[in-house]
Amino acid sequence: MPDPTGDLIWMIDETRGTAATGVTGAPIPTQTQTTAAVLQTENIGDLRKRVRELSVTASAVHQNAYLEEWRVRTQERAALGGVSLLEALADLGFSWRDVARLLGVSVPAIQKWRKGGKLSPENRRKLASLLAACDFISMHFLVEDIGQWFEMPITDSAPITPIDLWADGNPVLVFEYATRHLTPDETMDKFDPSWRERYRTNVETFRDDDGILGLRIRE
Amino acid sequence: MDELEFPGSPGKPDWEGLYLYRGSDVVASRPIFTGDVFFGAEVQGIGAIETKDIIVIQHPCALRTNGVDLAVSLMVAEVTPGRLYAGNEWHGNYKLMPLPEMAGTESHYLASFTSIYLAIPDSLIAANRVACLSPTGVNLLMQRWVCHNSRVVVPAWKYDEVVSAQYEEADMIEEWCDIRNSSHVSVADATAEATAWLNDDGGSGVKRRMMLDTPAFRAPMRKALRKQAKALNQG
Repeated sequence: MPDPTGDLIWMIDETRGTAATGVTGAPIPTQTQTTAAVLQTENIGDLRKRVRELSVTASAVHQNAYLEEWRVRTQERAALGGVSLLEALADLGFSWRDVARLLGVSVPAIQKWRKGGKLSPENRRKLASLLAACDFISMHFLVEDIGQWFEMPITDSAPITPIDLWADGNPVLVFEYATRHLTPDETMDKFDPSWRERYRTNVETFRDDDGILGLRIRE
Repeated sequence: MDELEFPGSPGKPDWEGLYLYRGSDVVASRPIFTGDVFFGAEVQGIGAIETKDIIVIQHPCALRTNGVDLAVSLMVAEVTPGRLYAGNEWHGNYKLMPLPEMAGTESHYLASFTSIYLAIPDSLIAANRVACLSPTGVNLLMQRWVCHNSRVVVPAWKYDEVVSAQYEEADMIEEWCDIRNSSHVSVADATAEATAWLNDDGGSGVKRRMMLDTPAFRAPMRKALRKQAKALNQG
């Protein structure tokens, strides 16, 4: 069997069977062999570096591509009026409280818009961009219930949802999580590096005998 | 060691985040809930009925006896004008719940846990409701009230896990009433319809109200509720 290191092995004098008196020392590699090994290491190292750089470039290009798609979809959704945009979000299952949080406005502001109150161009764009993000995630990642997806915790260990990421002004993090280019833990680390400590508690939720949820200290 | 929390982040308090509605924004059809503030409510004082400004501090699970009707009497705390408590002051002051900017940016109140009364639901008139707390507000109120009574500090986000289903239910009833209002259905009738729908199992064997305990079911339930209320409007 060929030795991957380039024949640099200890060789037993097999022709003499059990009569062999010892082992033969490994041949000292020639200058050519050493040079070849060094070159091979450098070539593979270079390949690895290029793959890493390619991965970074591909990530950036992919991000640009989906952000562009998001912009186009936003433009498309912006053709709808404010009331229609709000109704479309509610029909996806979002609560008005969550819509308010996602847009960074109050619930009464949303209620006024629903009743035909004036919507600033900025807020209308925000509504359209949220709806466009829902379109994008639903279509590419076959999310059946996008309203539900947005309000499900990213990990069981913390109460953070994609709504929190979006409300924090971080749509790219939402897309990276949705496109599965970030794991749940990586997403949480980027959102809040101290989340493990922040949400560590010895209090647990339990369902009592009467069917009601309660809190107790974990034993 | 957990400590009492305040809304917002260090150096950046979010007083507005405590409230769902304030002043004229309060929606009459919203069911009475923990953290609702009423001005001029009749409460049982020592040997006499007194009129007080109050906040409902009864736990959401104990507000209603059968999921629909309010309990015979509700525990409330007196609300009085007060000063603004800075974020770090929320870590102490165990005997009160600050209500900053409750009636305007310069109008601060506080609820006193040492001035507790019982109110009968009939005295809590919708027109006198001046504020409804947000989920954050309710969680912080619960955190302070439980700490006052037990010296145990439970992280506010854990309260959310046991209170959010009831809060969701209040949201859904309000939404149903709003949709039905366009067909001129009264708040009382619309509330009855919504509670009947929530008490129904829709053939699943589990009442919709109970399904709200599971966050994953909430978005589909909201969609179903809107669809049903709109269908009723269309006759």
